Amino acid sequence: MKYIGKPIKRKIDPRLIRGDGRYIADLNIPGTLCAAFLRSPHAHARILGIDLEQARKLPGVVAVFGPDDGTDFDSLPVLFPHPKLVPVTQRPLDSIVHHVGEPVAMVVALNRYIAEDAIELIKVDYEPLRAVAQLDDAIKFDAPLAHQHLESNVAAHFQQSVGDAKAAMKEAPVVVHHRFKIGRVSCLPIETRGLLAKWDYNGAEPALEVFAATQSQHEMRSILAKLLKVSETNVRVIAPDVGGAFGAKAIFYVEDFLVSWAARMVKAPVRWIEDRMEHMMSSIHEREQYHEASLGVTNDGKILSVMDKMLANNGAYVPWGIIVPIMTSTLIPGPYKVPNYFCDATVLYTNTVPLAPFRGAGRPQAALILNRLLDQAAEKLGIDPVEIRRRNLIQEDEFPYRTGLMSRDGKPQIYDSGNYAKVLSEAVEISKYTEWRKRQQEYRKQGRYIGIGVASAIENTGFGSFEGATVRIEITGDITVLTSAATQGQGHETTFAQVAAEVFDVPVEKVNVREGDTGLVTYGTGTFASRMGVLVGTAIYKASQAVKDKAKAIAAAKLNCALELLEMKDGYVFMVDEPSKRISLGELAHEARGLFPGTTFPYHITPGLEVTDYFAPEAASVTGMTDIAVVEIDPNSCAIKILDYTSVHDNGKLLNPLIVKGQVQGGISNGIGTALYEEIVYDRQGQLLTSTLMDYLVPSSCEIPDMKIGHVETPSPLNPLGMKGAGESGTIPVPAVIQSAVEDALREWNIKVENIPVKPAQLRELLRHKKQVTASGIR
Amino acid sequence: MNVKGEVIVDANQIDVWNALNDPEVLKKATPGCKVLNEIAPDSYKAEIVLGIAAVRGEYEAEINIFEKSEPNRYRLVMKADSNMGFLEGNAVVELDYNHPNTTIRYDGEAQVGGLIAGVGQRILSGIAKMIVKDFFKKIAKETKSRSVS
Repeated sequence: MKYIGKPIKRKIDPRLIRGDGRYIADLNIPGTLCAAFLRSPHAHARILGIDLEQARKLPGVVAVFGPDDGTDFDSLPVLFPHPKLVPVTQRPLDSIVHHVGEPVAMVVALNRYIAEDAIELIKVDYEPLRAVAQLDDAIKFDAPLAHQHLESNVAAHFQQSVGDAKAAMKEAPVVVHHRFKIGRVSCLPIETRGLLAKWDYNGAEPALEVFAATQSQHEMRSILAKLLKVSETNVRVIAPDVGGAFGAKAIFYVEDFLVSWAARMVKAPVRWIEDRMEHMMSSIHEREQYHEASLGVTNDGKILSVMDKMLANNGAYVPWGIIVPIMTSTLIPGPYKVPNYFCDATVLYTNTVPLAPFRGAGRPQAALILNRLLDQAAEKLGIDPVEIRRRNLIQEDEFPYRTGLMSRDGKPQIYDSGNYAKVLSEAVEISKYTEWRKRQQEYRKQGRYIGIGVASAIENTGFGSFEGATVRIEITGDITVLTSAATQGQGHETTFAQVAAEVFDVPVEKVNVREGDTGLVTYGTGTFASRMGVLVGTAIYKASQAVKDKAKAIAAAKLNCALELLEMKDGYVFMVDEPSKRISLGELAHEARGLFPGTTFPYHITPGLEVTDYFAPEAASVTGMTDIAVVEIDPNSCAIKILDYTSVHDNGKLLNPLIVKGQVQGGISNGIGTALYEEIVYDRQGQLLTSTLMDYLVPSSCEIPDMKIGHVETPSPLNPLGMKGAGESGTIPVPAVIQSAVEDALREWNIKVENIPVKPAQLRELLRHKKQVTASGIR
Repeated sequence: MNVKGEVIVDANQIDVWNALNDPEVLKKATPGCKVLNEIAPDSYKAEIVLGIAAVRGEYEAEINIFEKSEPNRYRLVMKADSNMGFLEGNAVVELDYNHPNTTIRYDGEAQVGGLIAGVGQRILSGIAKMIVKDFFKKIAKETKSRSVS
């Protein structure tokens, strides 16, 4: 391959680095008004009365909307319904609020300053209702109800089962247990959410144009059309440059509806830019789950049975169904052979920000469970943690591998391909694992506490249902690629150009990729679940092949020769035997659109060197990964330092190893945030205690270690280029590997590290408790 | 968060009790209190301006006294709203006379909501404790100055 697989630098970077990016806040549309939202200070309350008059009187205020304006609004649509789910979705400007930060009223004014001043003039009379925020409370039988109309806080209760886990556990010679308390995090893109909505009343029918910081312009179009009761043809959603998303911008929020609706009411463009505090209290969170898990193994460490009881917080609503806990429950076995498995999952409503997929989407939680149980089993059996993993991995010759579980799409879960043992071996080698184990002993003699953690995991990537692409040869000879994707920093403009460049054999510079606009490609789904490379990449590949065939058909007619005698390279179609007989792509594009008006079209192809194609994969392509981390813990302060970090991934055939490396580094940094620093905290009454970056700790470059990153490439049989997703896999093994390393470093004290994030204060408490117990003679 | 403490006043129990029920004293003792009106027996409305870090702002407060058992104890329920969020307090105040001093003991819960709950959370419990302590210290001071005059 000439272009695919090459570490080509990102085409988009020079423009963004120069500050020439164009984000929602940069758009300059004359007459645009600004919106601001009044948000609930209560976690659960009924609005008894609201006085909007003072706000309306403020000079510069154009309109103020409150609950009385929203009585006819529909609730947001239920996405991903599930037979076990009792769905509650958010209703814009509802008279009952269900979490702190929910919009209560909206001001549209000449600018944001006036809008925010007006917000301060709104008086609301709340009747606070009993609220529930934490999992421990929500599960109690007499818990306050997050939604008064429901009988309990249970949003869903479901199970996953393979074999007879209970019976196998009973017979297992060695059984270990571990509990997990996983905290909640914010997605935290650098660019917050934002939206600019503009109606045009001068056409045949009113038409809406929305510029949005979104991952899913087609989904947004479809939901806006439904809620605003207009046809999709009259709604265009454009995602210009989007500064990161990580899941936060895949969701359709009430603000998206309200800004578009308000623009229609005030008959002017309206823009809203979310501020950081709004982001913390209204954009989705993820990760929060509790687990109690058991593992039964043979005396030589072979897995016999895994059982898990999961509690998952879903916040006040289900904007993306219960995808996250479903993902966790189906991926706990991961890369290991688990003959008997049982998972009992309870998903709970609470009066907090809703939880929905954030980079990794339930998989970092899944990776924790079995990896950490294997740590316990290895300790008990005196086997090296790497060795016990090696003994249980699915082998290269066992693919396609059926786990016996159902995937999130309702079909049997099948891993298409992989080579987990090779991934593990490379990680062991690159990390110098054996050497670190020796050094660990030496350091211990010097009073230093070093721990080594290892974790293997998988990711099901490239989910359906489909994505599309239009590929066109311009009369300049340039290639235009239009896709249904949206980019938030993934480097699509480069990787997708590489795919087309490969097919047409032209330099990457000749390929221009455009996306993030419903006007480009009729249908699409969105950028999430590590699926764009696989789906859009394949759609481009297929459409490019078809365009190439059309170009060759015209050339064959023009040069009067058989198709088989022609090849395409560097912008020309030429005869293999006689390369001087050639036609440029530009000329062929010109021919393909008919030379002059009124002439008869001479070729047996559809006019235009352009083809639109879609790719709908039959199943997810499954990636594999192993991380190894070395940490040092200061026994006095319990500060945790990462000394060494290794990550080996099998993301299938790589389109661009440089970009994949960036994704892995970014993913690991995200994972380190989850594992050691970031945590959204609510008090028991549902008050958000971490609404600023002063209280919500995000790792900076100083906390992120140098990483050794390796790749294994096992092509997927599910698409012609053998691709697998790569956007999220970096995050997945990190919490497991860090928790594992920390526990290893403190092995002397025999403490169990159960929390994520792992915080020095918890460790100190665990050590203090252990020392007290030891001192009192109870061992 | 729990707010608990005690202040010893160099005065007899009746004087302290009267001070704790006198709108003028309450106004002087409440930090940042600009206006305090008795709207019904044991029910007050106040305007309070706080100038402390994260809770800086103008608050409209409602103070109600319940479960009165003269001159030994009452329950004080306070609710204050501002654009930054709300403060709520619910505390039992008990007096204990031990010649020549009276001890004021308070034990209750404070709840902070809205924007201020999330801003500077780490310093909030310190601020709450300081405000409450300050309140009872001023009550002590006012009682003393009244009993002297």
